[in-house]
Amino acid sequence: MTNPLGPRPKSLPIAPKAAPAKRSLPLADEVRDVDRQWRPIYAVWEITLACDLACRHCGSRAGKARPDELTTEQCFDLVDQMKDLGVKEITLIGGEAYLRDDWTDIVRRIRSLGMICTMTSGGRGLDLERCKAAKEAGLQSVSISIDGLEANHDAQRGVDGSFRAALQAMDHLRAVGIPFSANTQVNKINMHEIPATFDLLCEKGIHAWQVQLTTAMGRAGDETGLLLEPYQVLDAIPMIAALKEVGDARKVRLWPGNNVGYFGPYEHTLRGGWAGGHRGSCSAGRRTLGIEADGSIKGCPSLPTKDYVGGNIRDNSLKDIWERSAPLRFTRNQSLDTLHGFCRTCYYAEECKAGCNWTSHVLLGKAGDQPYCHHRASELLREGVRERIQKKTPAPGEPFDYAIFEVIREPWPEGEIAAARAKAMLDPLP
Amino acid sequence: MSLGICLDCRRHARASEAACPFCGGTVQPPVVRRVAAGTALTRAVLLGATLSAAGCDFTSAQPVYGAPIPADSGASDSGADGDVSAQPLYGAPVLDAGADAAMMEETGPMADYGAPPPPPDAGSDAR
Ligand code: SF4
Ligand code: SF4
Repeated sequence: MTNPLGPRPKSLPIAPKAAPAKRSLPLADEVRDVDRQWRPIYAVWEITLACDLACRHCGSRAGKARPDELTTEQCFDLVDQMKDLGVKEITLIGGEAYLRDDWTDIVRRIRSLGMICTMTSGGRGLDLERCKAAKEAGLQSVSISIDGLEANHDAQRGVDGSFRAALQAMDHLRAVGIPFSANTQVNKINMHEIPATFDLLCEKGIHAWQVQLTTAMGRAGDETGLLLEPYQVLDAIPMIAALKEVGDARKVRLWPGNNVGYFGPYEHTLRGGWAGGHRGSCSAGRRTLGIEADGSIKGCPSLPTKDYVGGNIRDNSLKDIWERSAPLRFTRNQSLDTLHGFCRTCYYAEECKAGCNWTSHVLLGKAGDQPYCHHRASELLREGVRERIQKKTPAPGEPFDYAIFEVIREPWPEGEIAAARAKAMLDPLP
Repeated sequence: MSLGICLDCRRHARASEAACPFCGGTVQPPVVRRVAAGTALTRAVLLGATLSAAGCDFTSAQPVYGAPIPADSGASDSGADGDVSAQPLYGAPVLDAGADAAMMEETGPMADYGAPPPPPDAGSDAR
């Protein structure tokens, strides 16, 4: 079978050995009111970087365990501290979380304190025995990663047979009575088969489907053939919104990832049922907590290590890192003045604050301006221009690293613009 | 900033606008929602599964177009101990006494690397 992605770029190691955690990072002396008011309700926790897949888009370049991953006792202590800080729900990720021998002990500890526990998995090694152990420990749902139909999925996941293994993992989960959902990345090579993928997943019995755009972090930043051009959100977002309505009809909840947006005519379909009736701004360090397996604490699990680790749980309490580290405070300090480019003057800037900070930071090297935005792409289409990306500097090849891209603004091709406007139901600017 | 929906082009627009800034259509005001007292604040709650509309015509709590949110999808059974003091406010509930409600509705309920929350019946074996 021809690999739709072509050969893997060879310039970087597939699974680099992670550097030891950054330690003894500075904390502010003072705790402000705003630092006490915000508390995390949701934590996403990489409990190991070990992985049995080799995904071409893996943001953390997972494969080998970190050299200094937390011990079981340190993990238990961290669970207790999360409970004390107000966390209600923890999703375990990896690498592959189940590759840690004590993963079900961690699940059990989380559940014993009354918190929700779920897991995200590629599913390759999620056999019946592991599923039984997870059920017994109290795991409440598993989200299986499926990135298209078989050939496309296997190409992206880097292992032949991974698609079938993932579907089999769903069968095992069903057999033991653990509800399962799915998560799917949308990108250049699979966009055409996303509706068929969702249909297959609904038939398989998922209760929810998380969908997000492939983001230029880690190995995905090496794979320029994978990343959507920003103007392609004009096709991707309406497609996802249409699938939301399909999901509603089939009683499968569609979770649009935080980089699916923003504020165009489809926001109401995608998020009209949310508390605010639409997406808010980035929740990193306000509602969300991210943890790396070596005890590094970030405001969101996806954010790049270099810029967003605020401290290490071996050095400080979780509460101190949450309240007093600058990288955890960054969205508490975000304002119109921290935005730039198109987002700075956008009608929705105050609500949106440039969308997902992870997506923009790993693309452009800093947050505050968001090319992957439906509202922006459609306003530019009105003007007759569109944006695409071009890599300027490659990534160094470390877990959670990023390349630097530049955004190129160009006229829409003459032969395509009328059709693009008609599809978006947009009039040109007078 | 409080955003309503344009009934013509379906874009969000400030509730204070006399007309939609994108197409000139009519802006429907935002919906005020309540969280039931004692509800633990989870992502499922922020997503609106356990919210009910208040202070306005209930029909406006439904999507302007598309299918309504299924009643049984994603309600939270967190097993958590209900330590949230829920307040009747626009948007999400207040987590800590004294916290600013407007802040609480600023964020979305999830991160991209996480997973959807479990379905409502997944907490029955809570230990
Ligand atoms: S242009 Fe920027 S601020 Fe405006 S909606 Fe898009 S991402 Fe948000
Ligand atoms: S960086 Fe993106 S994924 Fe992370 S919390 Fe912010 S919006 Fe969500």
